[in-house]
Amino acid sequence: MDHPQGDDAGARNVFRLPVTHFGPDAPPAASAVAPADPRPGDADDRGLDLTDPDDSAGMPPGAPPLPPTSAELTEQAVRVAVGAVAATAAVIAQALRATMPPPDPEAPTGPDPIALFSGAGLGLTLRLGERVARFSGDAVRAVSPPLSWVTGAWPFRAVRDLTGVTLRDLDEQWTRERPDADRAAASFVGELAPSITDAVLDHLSLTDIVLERVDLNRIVAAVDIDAVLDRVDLDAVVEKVDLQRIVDRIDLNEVAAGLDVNAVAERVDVEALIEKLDLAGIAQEVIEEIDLPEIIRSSTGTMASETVRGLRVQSVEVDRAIARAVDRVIFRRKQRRTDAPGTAPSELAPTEEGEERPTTDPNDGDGEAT
Amino acid sequence: VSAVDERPARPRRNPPQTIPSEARAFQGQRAGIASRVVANSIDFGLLVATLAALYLGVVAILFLLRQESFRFPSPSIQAAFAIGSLLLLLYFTASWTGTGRTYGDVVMGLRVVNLRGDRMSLPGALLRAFLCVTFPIGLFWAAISRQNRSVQDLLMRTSVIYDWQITGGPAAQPSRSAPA
Repeated sequence: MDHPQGDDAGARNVFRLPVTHFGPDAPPAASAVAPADPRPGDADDRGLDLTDPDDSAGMPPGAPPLPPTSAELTEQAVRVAVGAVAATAAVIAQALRATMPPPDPEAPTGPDPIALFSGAGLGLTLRLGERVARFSGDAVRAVSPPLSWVTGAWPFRAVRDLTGVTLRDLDEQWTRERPDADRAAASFVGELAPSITDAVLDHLSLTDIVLERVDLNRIVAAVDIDAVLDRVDLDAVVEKVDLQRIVDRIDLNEVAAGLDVNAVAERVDVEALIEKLDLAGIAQEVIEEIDLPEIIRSSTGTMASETVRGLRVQSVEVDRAIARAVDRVIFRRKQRRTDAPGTAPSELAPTEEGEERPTTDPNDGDGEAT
Repeated sequence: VSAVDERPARPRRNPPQTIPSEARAFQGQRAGIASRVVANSIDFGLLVATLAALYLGVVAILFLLRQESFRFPSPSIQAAFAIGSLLLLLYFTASWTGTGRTYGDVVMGLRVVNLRGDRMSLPGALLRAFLCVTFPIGLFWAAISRQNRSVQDLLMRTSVIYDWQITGGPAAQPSRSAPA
């Protein structure tokens, strides 16, 4: 479907139109009765600026852009109207075709007569609109100067002033009541929109439409995910996660193998840790636990002089040598049973003072029975 | 019920070993004849020294009492033997009931324990001391005995063990299972 495309001036006008004043200082319908060929600067004088500031970028400084003439406006209005009619007609025609049975594919295809006639009619309307607009603009330009003595006369001036005053009053009233009207319209639309939307959505598959028409990748690329994450309560999310199951699936040994433990250890503030420890208390507890004074006492007692230790060790060796010799002499083959009441060397563990001494096996007192 | 079971819930940890490593192999085992002979020899030397000192003391007292008629006393061998035996009896008894070791035992790292591994009671120590004094030759049975026991040990069911630990009393260890 072709949108109505005008020349450069027309295209510029399309963008200028929306920039109209609705403030109370706007002249009442001034643009409608504006002179056909206004001089530069007139727009400022009348408090009406129909130009888009962006459009003046390419223009020489000091030369304000020309406002559209009424003829151009009319022409543009006709184009828009014709375009709208054409678009509507096309939509209706398409809908009508959709409701009809599909055409026979083997039938000879020719130009659609409906499309042909409607296109011709629309083109004719467009041409007529252009002609009328040009003619009316030319007519106004031609007639205005000779009639200026009439229009400048008192009765016309009075009527014009009166009309201006009335229009201003009406405009002010509109300005006052506009909020109410807007509200009323908004509420009406608000009442109506949901049901219309529901009715439309019932016949549409939004998901399909989005998938078909929307470039989701572009949208996702434009999303500021950090900002989204800032708003997410990650703690609540994590609470829902079964971390134990996840951890069970992780090979922690492999993770640990990849850890640089030395680097971690270098970052640990060992001194701070030690400061937190009650070393004196721990030392005291250890000393009490192992009974250090007792150890010192027993070790100094045990660690007799080198001479005594040597004497003892040598006598033990002599003991064994004599025992072996005697055993050999009396043909004893069994080993001596020198385990005495008490314990084997590996089980040395003094009990506390005053504790009842454990009894030993009864065989110890049986003498030479074996 | 063993005394071990009656310990408090948090038993005290064993202190580190204070016995020299070379002695740990035979700590708590019955001592052989050589060590015991050496220990008894030391004790005998001690007895002789004590007797000498005693004699000198008596001499000094006699000299002070009757200086003009002073003569060195010459006690009979029987009297000396009797006094020595008595001294030895007392010395053994006191040592075995006290620390379980005479001075000779201390030097040699020995200790006398009863059949429970404990220090001897006074009657037991007295009887054993009597046996040792009257029948010292019985000591040498320890060389022949498979359990390194003298005649006195067999009669009194005692043992003489290597024990280099000077404190904590004899055989201050928990009970063991039956020997192999």
